This record gives sequence, C-alpha cells and structure tokens, in this order.
Amino acid sequence: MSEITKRCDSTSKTVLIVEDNTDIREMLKMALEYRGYKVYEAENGQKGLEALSKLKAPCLILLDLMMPVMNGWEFMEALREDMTLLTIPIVVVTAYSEKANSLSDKTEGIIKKPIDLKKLYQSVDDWCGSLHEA
Amino acid sequence: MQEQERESNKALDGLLRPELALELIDVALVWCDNQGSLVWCNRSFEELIERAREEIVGHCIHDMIFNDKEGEGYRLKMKDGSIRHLEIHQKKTKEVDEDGDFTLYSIRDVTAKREAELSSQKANAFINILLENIPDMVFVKDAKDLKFVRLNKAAEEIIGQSRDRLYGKTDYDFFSKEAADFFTAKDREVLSSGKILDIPEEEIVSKTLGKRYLHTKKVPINDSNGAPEYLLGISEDITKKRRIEELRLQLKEEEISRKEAEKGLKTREDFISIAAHELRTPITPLKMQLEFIPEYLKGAKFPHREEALALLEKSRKQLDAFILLVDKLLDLSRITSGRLSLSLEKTDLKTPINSVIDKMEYELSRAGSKLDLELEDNVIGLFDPTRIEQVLSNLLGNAIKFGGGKPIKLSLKKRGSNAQITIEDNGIGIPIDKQKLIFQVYERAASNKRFPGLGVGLYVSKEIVSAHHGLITVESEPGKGSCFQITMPLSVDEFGAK
Repeated sequence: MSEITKRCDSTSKTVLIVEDNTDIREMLKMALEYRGYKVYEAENGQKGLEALSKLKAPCLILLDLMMPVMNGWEFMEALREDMTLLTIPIVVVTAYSEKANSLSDKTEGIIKKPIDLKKLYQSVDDWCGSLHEA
Repeated sequence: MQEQERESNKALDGLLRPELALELIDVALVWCDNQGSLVWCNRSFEELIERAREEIVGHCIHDMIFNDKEGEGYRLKMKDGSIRHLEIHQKKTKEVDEDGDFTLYSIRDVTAKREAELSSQKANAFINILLENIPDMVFVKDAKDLKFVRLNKAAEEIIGQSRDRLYGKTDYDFFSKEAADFFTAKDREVLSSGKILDIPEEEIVSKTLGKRYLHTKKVPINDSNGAPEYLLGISEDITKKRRIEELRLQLKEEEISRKEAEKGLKTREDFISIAAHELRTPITPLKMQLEFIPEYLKGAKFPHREEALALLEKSRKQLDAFILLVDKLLDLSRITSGRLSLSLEKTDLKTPINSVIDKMEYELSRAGSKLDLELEDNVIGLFDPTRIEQVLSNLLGNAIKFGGGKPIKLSLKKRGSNAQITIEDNGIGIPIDKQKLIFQVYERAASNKRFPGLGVGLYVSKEIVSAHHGLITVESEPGKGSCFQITMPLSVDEFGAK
C-alpha cells in the first residue's frame, strides 16, 4: 500500500461517486455497498464539491470525466486549490481512454468503461483497503 | 487685281471667237512641231507652267514635262519645287499649208484627283489588312443571289476552303442542305428586315476543322437607293469558349457532387461516432449489472440455479462481443476523424501475442485449427500493446474464420531494425481482385451471408500498423490460404517519431 492509502481515514471506508449517468451511478453504489463501503453520490463536479464540503474526506473518489455543469477535469482543478482535499485519491472512470491517458499524473488510476466489476473492486480495495480482508 | 484683269482682257480684244475659246478653256493646250518644240500654247498652259508664252516658245515640251518614272505618269516641277501630276492627251495633226506634222497636247492638272485616289487606296489597303487579320470570320454576300463576293483569311480557315473556290458560290456548295437552308433563311430575314441580326450560336461543319460553333452577326448593306446590295457577316468561332464553358460547368457539377459525397461521408462518420457513443452509454451499467447479479446469488438456493447462472454467463459473454463491435465502430470513427492516438511503451511483442492467443483459445479449439507458433525472443520495441493486441486479434480472428479448420501458423521475427509478425492460414484465400480492396473501409472479400462482419477490421488494423510507421501486406491464393505480414520498426527514428 502506498503512503496515500495511509492518509485515508481507515474507519470511514467512504467512497464518493461523481457520475452524471444515473444507471451507472446507482450500479456503482449498489456494488460498492454490497462490498461494505459507505457511498456518497454526486451527479456532477459541482455537486461533488458540495458533498466534500459537508463530509469527512472519503478514502477514494470515483470520477467521471464528461459531465454537465462541472466536468471531471474542472473538478480536479478545484480540488487542487484546497489543501485538505488535495490528498484524496481519485480514480477516473471513463469511456474516453485517450483523453484520460493525459491525466495519469493527476490520478491514481483509470477504469475504462464499460466497467469490469473485478477491476472496480480491485481498484477500490487497493485505495481503501479491503473490508473483506479486514 | 481688277487692273490686271482689265489689262489681260485687253489682250483678248480683237480675237476671233474660236481663238478666244481656245484661250479661255480650262484645259491647257500646246502645239508642238515634229521636233517637239513648242509653237503655241494657250493661257491655261501659261498659268499651269507659271511662265509667259514668249519665254517658252521654241523650247522642247519634254524639257518642261517629265515622264521618267514608271507608274507616276506625266509630271511638272513647279517654281516652288512642288510636283503637279498631269493627264495628257495628244493628237497629231497635218497642217496643210505648213511643212510636217504638228502635235496637239491637251493637258489637265490631275494632282488633286490623284492624291484623293492615293489616299483612298491607302485607306482601302488599311481596311484590307484589318479585315484579313482580325480573328473573326468576315464574309460578304451579294444580296441578290447570296453568292460570296468577299471573304477574309479567318473565313477561309473556318469554312476550310480557299477564297478562290468560294467566290461566286453559295452556302449550298459546301454545307449540308439543312445547314444552308438555315443560313439562307437568316440571310433573307436580315435583308428583308434591313436590321442587324445577332445569332448567339450556330453550328457549321468545317471541311478541315469538323464541327464548329459560331457567334454570328449579319448586317444588311444597302445601295444609295436604300435597296439591299450586300449582306455582311461577322462570325466569332466560339467552339473553344463553349468547350471551356462546358468544362467549367462540368467541373462545377463535379465539385458539387464531390462536396455532397464528402458531406455524406462526414454525416456517416458523425453518425457512426454518435451511434457508437450512444450504444456505449447503456452498456456500462448493463455489463456491471450482469456481472453483479451472480454476487447476489452467491450461496442462494432456488430452482434452476445452475441454468440461470449459465444464462447470465452467456449473456455476459454476448455483451462482451457486443462491446467489441461497438469498440470497432468507435475505433473507426477515431481513425476517420484522425483521433487515433497510441500509448507507446517498451513492449516485448511476445506479450500481446500470447495475450491474444489466450483470449482466442476457445475459438481456435472450436474451429479445430491447430496453431503453430514460432516466436523469437527479445523482439522488443516501442509499441502500444493494447492496439497491437487488437490488430493480432483481428488477423487471428480472420485466420480462424476463413481458415477452414486447417492449421494456422503465427511467427514473430526480428528482421534488422524491424519486427515482423506473420499469420498464415490454409483456408479459402482471397480472390486476386479483392486483395487490394480488403484494407479499405467497409470492403469485404467474402460474402456477407456466409461470413458476416462489418468490414472494418483490416482497415482499422492497417491504420494502427501505419500509426506505428509499419506496413501490413497480404499474399493469398484462392483455395489455398492467406498470409498476412506486419512489419514495424522497433526503434524511434531521428525525428523522435515512432
């Protein structure tokens, strides 16, 4: 596990999902809750920032890129300006693998859509520490 | 002046009437003896020569009037140096009471007439040169019988006959009856109306130039009584202009249809791109749901549990195949819009090859094709492994699809600074005429019914290999099999590109 993982609040095991597609967002929530994570949802970057201002920092943000109001790139820019939020690991979930490639230094990982459930679990478990192993 | 006149009239006093007439006539008259010496002259001659009778009597007429230049006629040099031109008639007379012959010269000053003639000749020559050298055909027909009376060089060239053959002839002598009827009708129309007629386009068949198009103006020329005398025609050969205009229109039409085709192509590309993205949106939750349902069912007991789980697994696999199709369309739209980009990394080509073989194991065994592998070690270079895998999956997929269950050979070699991958099957092969086409988008060598497919796989493969600065080629013999070969450089070139 990397240092960033250690900075996570190990007791919360909270994941923030920022995704505009309701079906995908609900399915992600269902899958992660089933695995024992507490999940917060936001339908765009703006809502994501609002959620972060009210919540304890989650151990991971799953971030879509193409969203209305505030897209994934703008959301990441906004996080950079807030020292408390800067350290939260972000995994980008996107269909645009080419566009996401350029983000590799700003994110902790990229999950390509359509999402492979095993890869999703692996990624979330990596950054938040598996509840199953605990 | 009046004084002078009175003086000179005094000199006429006492003259007989015929003698008086000779003095007063405005024709200069000179009598010379048979030696040419001037015996007598009248006052007109005195005035003409600017000398008095007494001064010149006994002088030779040929010393006063010259005829030494061919074509110049008789001339007289005046005191001021100017030259007068003369018209001379001479008549020999016999004087009964004198010895020998006398000659009577009657002389007129024709200088003015001659000058007028000369300047009119000059003007005519100028008009002739102009007429001969203008590029348009000029012809003149007699108004009575419409026979040609005048033609220029351009007319000879357009009609294809020399003017000697044309003068005195009508249109009926060298055009078809139909054409001659048309021309004659127009000529008559002009002559009877007395108005200029403009014919924007008429067709003639020239003896030497073939079919020509003319823009003709016909002008009636009337005599002094206002009756039609001639018909003047001026024709511009517009064959070339017309052809250029035709070509211009043709080009314009081609440009329009090309733009429409491009627009159509763009619309199709846009449609494919939009369709592929739209198809992908529901796929993402669908795939997760299909994968997640078994998680819920873990450990649960219910009737037909195994069958249900098997159906779910089958659905998941079908969805994966569907995703591959959508990805193909997305790749296609990326390539056609120039958005294909590679993520190059140091890659041992064995890795993507083995990965493809793993993924296609099931298809290989189902087709019954044995796979012969000949993979060299350490063929390492900068490649996009995911894209290379895609190419190999296409080629191996084709080899299985069209391989007829016979062995397939896959080899990886290092050839100088290049990597070479060869996939060879022993299947139905590709007809020679289709071999060039198969790398083009939507082209398929095989029938759609027996071997369905989008016809984009090889196109996408070629584009991916090209993006790696490589080459993909095919050798095939119908009925014996096909061999696809990929050659790609291993290292980065001097420009820093792959």
